[in-house]
Amino acid sequence: MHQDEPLKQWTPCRDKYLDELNRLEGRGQYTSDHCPSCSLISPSISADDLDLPCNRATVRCRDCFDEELVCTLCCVRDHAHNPLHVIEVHHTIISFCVACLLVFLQKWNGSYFEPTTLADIGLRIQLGHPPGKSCSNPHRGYDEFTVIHTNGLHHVHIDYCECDHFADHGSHRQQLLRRQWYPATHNEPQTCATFTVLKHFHMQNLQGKVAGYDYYSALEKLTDNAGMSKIKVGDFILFYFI
Amino acid sequence: MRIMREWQHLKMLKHAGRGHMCSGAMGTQPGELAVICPASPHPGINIPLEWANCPDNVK
Repeated sequence: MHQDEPLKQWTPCRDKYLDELNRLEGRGQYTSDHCPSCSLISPSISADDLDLPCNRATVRCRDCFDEELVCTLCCVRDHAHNPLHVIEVHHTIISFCVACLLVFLQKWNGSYFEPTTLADIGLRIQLGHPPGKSCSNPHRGYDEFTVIHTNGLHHVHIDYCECDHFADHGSHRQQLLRRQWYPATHNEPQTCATFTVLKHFHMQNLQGKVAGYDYYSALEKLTDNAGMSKIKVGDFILFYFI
Repeated sequence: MRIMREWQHLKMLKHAGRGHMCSGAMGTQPGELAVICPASPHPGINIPLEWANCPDNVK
């Protein structure tokens, strides 16, 4: 078979591929406003409860295999093991229409997905204990804690363990390292890079001569290609990549 | 690498809004997928429509 043949077969069908890409921009098959995950966890939940805002299916995860639309509570619960996933919130456009000096609140039919973070919808990452388990004496980490991962930069809320198991779980730095997060500074780190991103960059650097600056720029653009992201990382972290 | 070529082509079509056109991808006109140069002057966008009539000192 000539090497052009697969492209020739694909070209007339590209509209089908394009349709699927466009479908992923919307809600797809998840048209219900009720969170399917809530109903699965407690089948006895009444229809009235499903109308509560917390049970409205408004968020979905871009990194999970199934892009199901769930409520924020279920999303946070399901991401205890995957705290660095990228989340989108379903956003309904509300516009104010001024006509005849009267203000009308108007709800459009049109809607879109807006990027958000697990931290913004309430996820706190408890270090030391297994994911999903709480600590009796958590020590709040820096509010502006940033983690660099292969899928971008993440603003996270972390809690260190300082309960009775503190001796087993180790110092703050050990708790980070045991979650495979490499702290940027020795004392009181505010930024970490995951072992995965360090391995990934090391391989890219050795195989493709990718410079640290370029790799980091790509991660920034992966996080937010419009450059509107508020996540900022101190320059010192770049020393790992340069 | 063929996958990458197809993917980049689909992204170009998507950015140009071809996904919602009745004529589909086959109806794309030459040059339609090009990104308009943000640095070049475009009347009505980054220079006035009547730029040709402006005095020489502000042209």
